[in-house]
Amino acid sequence: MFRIKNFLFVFSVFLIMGVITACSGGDSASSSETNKAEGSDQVTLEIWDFMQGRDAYINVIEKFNEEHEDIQIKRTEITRSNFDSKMINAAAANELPDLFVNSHSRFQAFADAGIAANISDMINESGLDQKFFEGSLEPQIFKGDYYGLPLYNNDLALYYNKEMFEKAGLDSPPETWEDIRDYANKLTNDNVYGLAMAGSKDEQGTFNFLPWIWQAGADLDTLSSEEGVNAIEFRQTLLEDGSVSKEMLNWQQNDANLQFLSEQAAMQINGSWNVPTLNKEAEFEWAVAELPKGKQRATIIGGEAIGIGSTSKHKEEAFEFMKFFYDEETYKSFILEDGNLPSIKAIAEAPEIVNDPNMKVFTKGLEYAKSRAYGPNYPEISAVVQELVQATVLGKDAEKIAKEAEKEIKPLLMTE
Amino acid sequence: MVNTNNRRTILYMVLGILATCIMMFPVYWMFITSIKPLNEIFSSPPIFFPNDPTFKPYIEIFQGEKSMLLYMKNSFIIGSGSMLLTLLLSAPAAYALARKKITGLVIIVGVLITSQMFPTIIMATPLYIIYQKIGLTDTFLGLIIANTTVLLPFAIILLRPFFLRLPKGLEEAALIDGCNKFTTFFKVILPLTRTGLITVGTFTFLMAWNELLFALTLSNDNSMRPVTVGIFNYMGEYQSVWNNLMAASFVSSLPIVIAFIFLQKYIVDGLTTGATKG
Amino acid sequence: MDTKTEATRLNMNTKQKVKYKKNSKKKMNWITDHLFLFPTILFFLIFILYPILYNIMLSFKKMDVSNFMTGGVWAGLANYQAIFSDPLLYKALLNSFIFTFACIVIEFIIGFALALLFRQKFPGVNFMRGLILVVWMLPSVVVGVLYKWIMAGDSGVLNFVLTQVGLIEENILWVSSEQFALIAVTAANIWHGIPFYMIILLGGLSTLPRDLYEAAKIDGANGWKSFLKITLPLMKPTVLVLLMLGLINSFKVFDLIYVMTGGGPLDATTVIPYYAYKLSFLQFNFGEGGAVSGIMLILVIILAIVYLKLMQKEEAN
Repeated sequence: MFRIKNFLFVFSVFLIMGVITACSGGDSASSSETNKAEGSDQVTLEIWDFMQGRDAYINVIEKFNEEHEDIQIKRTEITRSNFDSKMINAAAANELPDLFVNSHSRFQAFADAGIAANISDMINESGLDQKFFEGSLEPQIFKGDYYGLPLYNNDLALYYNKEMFEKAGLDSPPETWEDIRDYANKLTNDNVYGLAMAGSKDEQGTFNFLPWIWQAGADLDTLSSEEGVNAIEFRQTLLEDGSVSKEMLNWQQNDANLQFLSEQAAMQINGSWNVPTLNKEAEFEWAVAELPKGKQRATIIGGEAIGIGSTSKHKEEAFEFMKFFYDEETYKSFILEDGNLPSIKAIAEAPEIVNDPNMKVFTKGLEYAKSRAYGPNYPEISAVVQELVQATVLGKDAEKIAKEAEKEIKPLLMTE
Repeated sequence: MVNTNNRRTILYMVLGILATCIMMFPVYWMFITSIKPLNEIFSSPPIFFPNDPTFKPYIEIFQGEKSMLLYMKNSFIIGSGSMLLTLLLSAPAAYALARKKITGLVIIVGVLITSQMFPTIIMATPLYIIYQKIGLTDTFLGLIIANTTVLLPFAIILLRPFFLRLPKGLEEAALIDGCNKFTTFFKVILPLTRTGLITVGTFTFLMAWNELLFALTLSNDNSMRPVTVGIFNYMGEYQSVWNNLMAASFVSSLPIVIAFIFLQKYIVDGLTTGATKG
Repeated sequence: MDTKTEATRLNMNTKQKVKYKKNSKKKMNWITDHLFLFPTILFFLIFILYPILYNIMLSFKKMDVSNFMTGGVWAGLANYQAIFSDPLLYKALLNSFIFTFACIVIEFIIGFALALLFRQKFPGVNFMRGLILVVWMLPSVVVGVLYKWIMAGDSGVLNFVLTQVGLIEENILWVSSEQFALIAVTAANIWHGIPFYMIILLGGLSTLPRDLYEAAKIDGANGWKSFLKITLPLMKPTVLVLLMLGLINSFKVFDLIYVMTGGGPLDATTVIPYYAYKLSFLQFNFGEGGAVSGIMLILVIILAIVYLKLMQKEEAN
């Protein structure tokens, strides 16, 4: 039937490769099946996360797999921007993973939608909740029940390039809004922006916007108040001064850090996870300071939390992993390598954290940091804020956009 | 006369070089950025010829669990799978539509042309839900089938003129030689439409290689996603380290550019046949 | 005589048999002919038609985060009502229209110019043609990333070049300003599509009879005139197909916008397919997303009918 050598002459390249790769693809699929069949009492748990390249976290999973013959964890990495939609789609199809790691700001919504499992009983029984800072447990609590545990926390602070400060004749970090505007202006020149921060149209944009509103003394339900409008206008002033690039519209926190690292920006607002990177790669002296004060001090608490999928058939085993994760030794080495702030009290007092002057600033921030506990509609609220951030950067009339956003947000803020 | 001809040739050549340079500049910029060290990337004025070329970005993108190699292997599997499935389905269909008396020919061709126009997003959501039900999410087969939904109508339309072009009476002659319809198709017809098959094969492979939306929505597992998602991951999750990003872009374009260089004749043929004989 | 009648009878018999056989053979013929189509039709029904019908059903259901797990509830026309009262629909339609129109017109003009140029014979013409075609081979994701970098506001090379040439005085924020973002994605798409137009038009031009031009020259027609009087009319079928393909491809655009702007800033680059994506996969409103898909479906079917009518007319000529 295939006496058509001619037909195959150029084609063979594609064909052969196609067959080889298709076969090897089939092999790997079948081998994983046999794996499952082999030990009938072995349970394979699925965990979904977006912890790309986060070795400290991946090591914990590997360690768990080594130490547990009966439970194995298979990790699937999902892009952060797709994570929520993946979870929701999977919920519809009853294909939720056993475990998942997501921003803690999503947990109340996930609890309300029946995606995250209620794990109150298991937590209370184990007494695990006693280990944590109360404030860091809060975002995972919905209607009095636990739907997850905080993996770690972080908050925002101000990084500054000491050498550029010296050159501009500045000797200490900005204390107030007036200071930061003034400093940013002084630090700006042809090649350098005074300040870099994230303003991308995703959660990071919201994350970097809310502290300003709080510092001004407003909140999401009082955006159109004088204070709220002030905050928006102040951010616009920084852009008009030219000391912040309007490109921040597309910047995520990583981009802001890259600007800082490559000395395109003299200051940046960013989280503690950049400390290890900057320690390793920065070719200049830098330090961290608290965010400048508006009417009051404020920063935002962020972080990822771990939860169990509501349709998981192995909730007990999944909780086993959570207990393993929060084992003090394991958790400590994870936190120190990852550069985030511990959510477990005992670890927060570790000398490595207490003695690091930069980490200390972030830890101090936690004292007055606020969380995004705006209820189960938070994802939609955040979407409105993201639009507001975009409009702010694009220089729209502050009062008008604040009013519009407030009008959209108010009905979404559920009063229980 | 010779003189004006010469002068004209030179004019055309200058214009040609100019047009090529303008069109190719972005590609040049992609490559040049990919071999710049990080501190030269943001320099102003921009550096057109790197002072200190480095291949570090190329080394970096092939390291670690997010290696481009993995993404490219996945793209290769998805690309060749989509190509094979599309050819398997489209060749007999295009043949029948070109040379047999098919009931409802006009309607079928109409439906094909219409479905060729569907934006991918129309298929993505329902396919995701259906895939979950039958367990095709996170499989190469799932992505191959999804790609084929887009490629199949296109392939049939592109392939049909190649069958139309064959001389009349071919099948009758083959019948006399003792072939039945199916052996005729495989032994006589297919070898004669070699060009068309290569053309369509190349096209479907390239289109599948370049596909993003299905890969984004129908696969969760980064270990089996194609190169297009890989680049997007580099952009979104990592820092916008432009030299690495450009290196990843360059590397992921390389296989199709090489394929193009070898198969250019077929691509050009296919395109012009498709467009002039629709 | 006897043998003859015998023969006729026999002959009659076989004739009848043949006639009978012919009928069943016809049926068999019909079946085997259509057997070639069978795999495709099966695939089409399961993986194309069924998903589309599913999508249409989705557009009449209310399905979002809260009731996704239970499969949603019937909502009648509510999704369509919501869509039609959303100003973003009209913005997306307008953006799609501007994007598609600009792409087709500019790609066509530049593509045609390049085709006319590269039709000439001069040293290196094949090489240059091939090089330009490489652009068309690039994945749109790569084009998006590349143009995002080239058009970066602060350190993009485009701003530098334009400033040097004196066309602009200060840097333009191509992808991060409302006025320019649509222009930016359109420009990237045009660059990506030009080679396609060029090669198709080259193909069309190569089928034109050379002697026509000779005759026109003798009649005293200059280059421009012979272009208008001979080239364009003869190219009509090619141009028709090309414009249709261009229309579809530009209307479908998703990858480029997803990568370059994500539909922003402030929806300035949200086109119809991205609008559907946004509703379904970013806001998890699958019902309304399905409704937008439904609208797209209707648009596409109308387009297809127009196209088929035009093709019929062309064939009749």
